[in-house]
Amino acid sequence: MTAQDVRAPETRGAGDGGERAVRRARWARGVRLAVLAAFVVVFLIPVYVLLVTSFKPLTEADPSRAWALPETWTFEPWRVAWEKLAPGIANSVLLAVPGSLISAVLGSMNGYVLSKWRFPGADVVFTLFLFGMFIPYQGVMIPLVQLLVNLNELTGLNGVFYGGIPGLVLAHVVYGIPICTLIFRNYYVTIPDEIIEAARVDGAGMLRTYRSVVLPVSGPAFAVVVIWQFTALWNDFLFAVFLTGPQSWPTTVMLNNIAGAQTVPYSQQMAAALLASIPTMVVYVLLGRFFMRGLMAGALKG
Amino acid sequence: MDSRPRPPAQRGAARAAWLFLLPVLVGFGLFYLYPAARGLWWSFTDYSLLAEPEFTGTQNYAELVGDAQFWNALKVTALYVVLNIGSQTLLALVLAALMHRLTRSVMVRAMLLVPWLVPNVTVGLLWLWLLDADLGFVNHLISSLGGESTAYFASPTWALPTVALVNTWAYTGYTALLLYAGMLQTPGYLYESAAIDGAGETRTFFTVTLPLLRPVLALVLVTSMIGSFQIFDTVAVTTEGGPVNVTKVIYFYIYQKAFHQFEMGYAAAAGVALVAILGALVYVQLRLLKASSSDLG
Repeated sequence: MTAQDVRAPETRGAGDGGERAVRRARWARGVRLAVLAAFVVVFLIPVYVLLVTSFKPLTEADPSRAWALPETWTFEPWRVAWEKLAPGIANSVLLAVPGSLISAVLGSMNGYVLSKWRFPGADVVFTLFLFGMFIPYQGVMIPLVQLLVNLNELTGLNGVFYGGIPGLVLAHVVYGIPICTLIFRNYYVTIPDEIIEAARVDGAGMLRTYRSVVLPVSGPAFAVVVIWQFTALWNDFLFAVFLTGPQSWPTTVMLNNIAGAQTVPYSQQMAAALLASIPTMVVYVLLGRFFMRGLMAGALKG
Repeated sequence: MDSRPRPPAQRGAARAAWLFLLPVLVGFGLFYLYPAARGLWWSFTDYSLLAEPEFTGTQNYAELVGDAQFWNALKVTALYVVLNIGSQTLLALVLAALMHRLTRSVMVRAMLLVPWLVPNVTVGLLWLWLLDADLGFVNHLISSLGGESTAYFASPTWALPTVALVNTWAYTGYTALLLYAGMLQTPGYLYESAAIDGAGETRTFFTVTLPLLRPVLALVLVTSMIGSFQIFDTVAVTTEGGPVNVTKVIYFYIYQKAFHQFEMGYAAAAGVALVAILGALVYVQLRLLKASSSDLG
């Protein structure tokens, strides 16, 4: 700090001039708030238009009235969309629920070992994971497809690894390991070493310490990882296109195919597009406050 | 590995730790490292699904260098990344600064995340409809303001910028939140002393907020750039690489080579080349990141 900081504040408490400055500052703040509010509104107009359109009958599909509420509300587009999308949604549930839970459990175990039970070689493993986070999938996708095909042949389980939900879950879990491990590791670093040490002195082994000391306080990290992985698995299109077939298409692929058929009216497409988005929204509303906390505590300090 | 003698209890602990990591290490090795190695091997073969791979040396790479389609895909991807990351980072920065100085509202944050939370397929479909030349809301607005209705996704000039801006819409809120979280780490006293010194908001942003945000900004840039390079969903939903290849990004090119033309070896080589290019870019960016570690020390 320089000597400048010591000088008396010029604009404060100096009668008339100070008051004007305060008023000007308040006005500027108002302008900035208005800018922020306008931005948020413009930003969300597409979502609003999407929502109202999905409740309009075909006769109201007029772009000049796209912003208006429906004159007659109809749930027909939603009903049709549900009928068409239901098998995909079922597949997505079978994909995203087990996938995100397995990811969280594995991430927690890794994060614990790598942060609190340091052992020779821990740094090598951690570096390997970090490296994994930066590798783009382009180089791996094609051989991965082939590997899953081989696993189908090897096990005689047709349509399980390649072209099936289990294979897709497997791929997502493996490729999600780096980020999940990192989030847990950064969270566990904040647990004081003394507590772990005390448990060790009391004769608790690694597993026991994990179960009765670390796991009970892991809630927030689990929430962050589950939100993260659930969103990633539910919204994924790339892995699904490469690794699944018609029987195992998740929501996103099915949605794209429905929309690709030119004959489907826009109101139904929009209802289907919204329907596909509801689950991640629900998860976010239920667990969202953890997300922001985790974002600040974990992801950035990596 | 460390070979110093250890007390038996500790050696047991290390063994237990490795056991804990075992499932993940096996999965990682089998489904990540092994395919990566196999892909590398295929890139030196003529593998085509129909026949067993046969070693052809660097022939695929030699062909790639002379493949106009490959270069086009690289150019398209690079242009996309520049447009997308440029606009997205700039908007997010302004947005984060506004939030940081004005409001702690959870509601605002939640609303900004909505486009990021929905599937990219939904985002693609939404904009495909909004920008429809006949039925689209955006085109209706433009023509009612005296402009000309345009089929943005079908126009050779507009298709790529449109795809880039659609993804900017989808990711700006998320990027802004990351930057906002970074800004929260700036100690409040710096703003107090800036205010005492009579610095205005703009000046404070450039002399306090931005310099201290540099490490976070660099990290966000690296990760969002890697993500941006892997653009696939939005293209697959909206343009499918068209019109006349102006949006045929590298991932879409590889996908078609592998699954429409079954040239697995060649596609693998294209993948390896891309990984190498990206690796180099990330390396440079990380070097810059290190050079610009926080002024706060």
